[in-house]
Amino acid sequence: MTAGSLRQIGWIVAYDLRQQVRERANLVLLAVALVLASIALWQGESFRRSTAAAMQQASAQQAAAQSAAEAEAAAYFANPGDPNYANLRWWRSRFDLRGYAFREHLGFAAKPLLPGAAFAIGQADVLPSVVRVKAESMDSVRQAADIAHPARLAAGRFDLMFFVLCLWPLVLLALSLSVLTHDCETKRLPVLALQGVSPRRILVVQAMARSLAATGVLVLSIGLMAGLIGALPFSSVGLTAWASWAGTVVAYSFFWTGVVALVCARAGNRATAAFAGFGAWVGIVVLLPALLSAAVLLAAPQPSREAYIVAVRDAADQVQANRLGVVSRFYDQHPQWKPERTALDKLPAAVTRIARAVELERAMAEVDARFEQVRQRQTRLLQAWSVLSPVSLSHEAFSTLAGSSSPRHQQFLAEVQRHQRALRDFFQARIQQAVLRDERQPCPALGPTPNHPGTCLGSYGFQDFHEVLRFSASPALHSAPDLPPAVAVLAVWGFFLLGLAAALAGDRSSARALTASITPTA
Amino acid sequence: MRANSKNITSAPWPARSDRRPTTSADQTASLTGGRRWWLAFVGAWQADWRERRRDWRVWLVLGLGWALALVASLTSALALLDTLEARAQSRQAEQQRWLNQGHKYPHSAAHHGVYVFKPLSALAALDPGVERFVGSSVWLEAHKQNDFIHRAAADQPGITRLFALSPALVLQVLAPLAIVFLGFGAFAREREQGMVGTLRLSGAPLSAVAAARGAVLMLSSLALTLPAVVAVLGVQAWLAGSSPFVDGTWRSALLVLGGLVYLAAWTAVVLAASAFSSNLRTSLSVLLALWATTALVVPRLATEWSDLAAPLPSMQAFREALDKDLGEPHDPAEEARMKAALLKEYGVDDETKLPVNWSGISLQRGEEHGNEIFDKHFGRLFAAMQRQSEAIAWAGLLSPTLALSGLSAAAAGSDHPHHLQFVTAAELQRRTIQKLMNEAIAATPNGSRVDGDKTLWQRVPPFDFKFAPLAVSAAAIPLLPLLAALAAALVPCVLALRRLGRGALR
Repeated sequence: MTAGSLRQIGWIVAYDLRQQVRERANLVLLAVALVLASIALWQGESFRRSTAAAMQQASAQQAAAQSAAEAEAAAYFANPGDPNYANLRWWRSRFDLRGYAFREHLGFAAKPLLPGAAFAIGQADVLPSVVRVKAESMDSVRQAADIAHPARLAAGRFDLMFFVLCLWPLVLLALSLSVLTHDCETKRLPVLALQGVSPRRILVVQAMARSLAATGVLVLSIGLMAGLIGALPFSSVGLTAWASWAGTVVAYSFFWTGVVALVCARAGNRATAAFAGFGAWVGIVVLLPALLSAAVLLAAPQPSREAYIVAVRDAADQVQANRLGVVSRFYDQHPQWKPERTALDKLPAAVTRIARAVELERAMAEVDARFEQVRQRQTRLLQAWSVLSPVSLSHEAFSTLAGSSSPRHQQFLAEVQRHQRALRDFFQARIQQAVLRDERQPCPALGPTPNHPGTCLGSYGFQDFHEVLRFSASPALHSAPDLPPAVAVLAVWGFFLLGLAAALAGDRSSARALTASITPTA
Repeated sequence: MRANSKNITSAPWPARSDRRPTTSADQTASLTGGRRWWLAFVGAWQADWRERRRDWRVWLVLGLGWALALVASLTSALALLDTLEARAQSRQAEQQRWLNQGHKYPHSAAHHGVYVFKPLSALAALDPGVERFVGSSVWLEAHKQNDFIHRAAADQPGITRLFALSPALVLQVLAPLAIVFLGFGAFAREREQGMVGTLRLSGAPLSAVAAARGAVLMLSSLALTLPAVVAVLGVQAWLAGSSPFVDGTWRSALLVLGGLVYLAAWTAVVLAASAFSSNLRTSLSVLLALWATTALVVPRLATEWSDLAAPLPSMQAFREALDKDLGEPHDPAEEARMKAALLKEYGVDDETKLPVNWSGISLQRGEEHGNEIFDKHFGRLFAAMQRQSEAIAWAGLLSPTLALSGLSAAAAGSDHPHHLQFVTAAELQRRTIQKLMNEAIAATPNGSRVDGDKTLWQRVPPFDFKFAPLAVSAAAIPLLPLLAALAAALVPCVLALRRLGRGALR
């Protein structure tokens, strides 16, 4: 490209942008768009703050529960014979291993918030970031849900991701659909051609200039607002998060620049361009993702959750019916914990509870694996097919940057499961050791359950609360993601469409310009 | 586009053989007002219909819309049938499990509990409402009011939430868009091409021309809803009368009425905007902006801001408060008074001598204590959600799409108030089970432990849930904004036509 060409491009850009700024309607449109984007950012930030508050609340609750447990244990073990403990219920006592492990233990796991969390809510309102972890099973984690009005979830969130994916293309279309088409309508093309400006250059340069200028205003304004309201930290981390988000927005806008250019290359006037452009918007933003989702769900249908419940119930009944066999197998595997004096069928339910839970988990493993396989297949299909749907690609990219994507949540669940198993093993070991100690030196029964051993430090008494495991997310969950590969695919889409548009403009525009110059107004 | 561009090129008069071979001025003079209007309507209808039939772009819009509606209806109907079958089988399995649990201490049976599954109507194939975001089943067990589990949305990829394909999406979001695309040039083309004078010279009442063009638009958009209607009828036939509604006909009629008013309102808006706009581009831009605002922006913003009407607690805060109250012991003094009264009633001095079992009484007392706490906490939560629902319903005044989605979900029994009906009924069933089990324990002499058997399990009534009839007042809340929207659209439509008939030619 020669210096003259560059000068010409610069002139086209400067002239066109000056013209656009003089259009009051354009400024109003951009202002309305920025207001909507600000509202969307605020909604995302509000959600981020409420999530952060929930995490703090969970952490405080966990700490307070531990302090209270320590105080209660200290008071109890100092004077177990106090009449206040006459009605002691071990299953509701924090200083009894059985009560603590199965009911009173309060432990949470939190998925760390990423710096760009305010930019997209995504699935974060359906897949909560804070879950309670119980030693017995993962049910409390799998079934965790935040409180939200379901209509709010069904309507979808007004976050920045929604704004960028759905509304921003409308703004770009409204700003750019007059590229070339206006010159056609006003018969300026022959004049411009005489000055050595090709329609192809006008099309590509003006479409890119308008789109990138508007996108630049958007990303800078949002970056500034995010910093001001505290949605982004004023640090390199915050700057990186903003840059990644801005890069994705620019790539998405670039794709739409290609769409606009293609429409303008084919349309003879602004009305036709508007019809085709907004028609393309409906197809790309609404129809394609909807059809893609429907196709994925049809190709990899989720097994029935109702049947899952029946399977769990069947498995639980089976474990219960085969209780002795389960317990016997457990002690065959852990002979060091086998009771010396108590027959296995006389063991209290609390002692064998974890062994039964493990057996239930084993019995359900195949069913769980089926659900997991379908989930993975859906993810694979979505990843493969979303190359055809830039909106789906961008959705995934924004979710990834905000930390609310499905893969990250699965990683979180996997870490929680590892923690839950460690917690379960911890309590299992403590309970089994307590059984052996209680056999050697029985603890007198207390309270309204005379058939159950009491709570002595030598047996089921518990005061090592500081040894109970706490969840800690891995560094991978804390680290901000790299720029998603979807950005590159979007850029490829943009270049392809722009190239196609340029080729079509080269073929058609000269003929159209000639026709327009000799034809009276239609 | 060509339909938009050419609909004036044919005279808006009937092209019938029985037309008198006279001038239009003669016709105008000789016809009475009503007849004249009707003839103009028929003529405009024929002209518009003919032009649209010949335009491939109209067929493209309708074809795409129809194909989409077909896919949406088919997938929704099949998914609903699968779900209903799975729930029926699971319900049956749970009922059998409950009845065949063998000999067991009644409180153990109460802990074993039973799952209940939410019924769905055929209309839910049309509008799944909040179904994907509320659980489908709940475990009814002793001491606890459990949450509903297994929300479909948690199992599905996030992108499915952006625009989930359903007949409701087609009717509420895409059908108005089809009206916009097919009708934005209804009058704007004539204005842009300077043919308003020709239109006036034809002598046809503009209201008749507008009504004819509007009717064609309405019919075109209604074609998009046909697959959904067929799907619902198919599901209804498959279900063979096992509807969870006692007023299915009224609900269906309401749904049809709401849809017609909605599409009529959009048709009027499109005609008004087209008649007001001096060119096609303005008409399309205004209509698309209006569509994006009312169909995309307002529904999301309204539901987001409904939180201001009644903020909801976080799950941690809710559970902490609930557990704290549940953890409080029962009033020991009250318990002592109750026990003393019982001893006095039976004339004994020790609970072991009672002919009734204190454990059963105590367990039921514990249940009632828990019920009070559940009612307090869940009641507060559901009341806040109800206030949010009302706020969302009022926002329907700003967005007919929101009003229609409220109306159709209410009619289909897939909105949040209907879900709460099921939650309440399930909780009542849980309490019934607990009461029967505890009464069975209480009926045994104190100190003895008697296991229950099938006779006792059969005393628990099967959970056969039906939604309460949809009250007129409940239907009126979303219907009124729709009617208001129609009236609000007709006023500018009339003004625009008057302006078109009497104002400047450009």
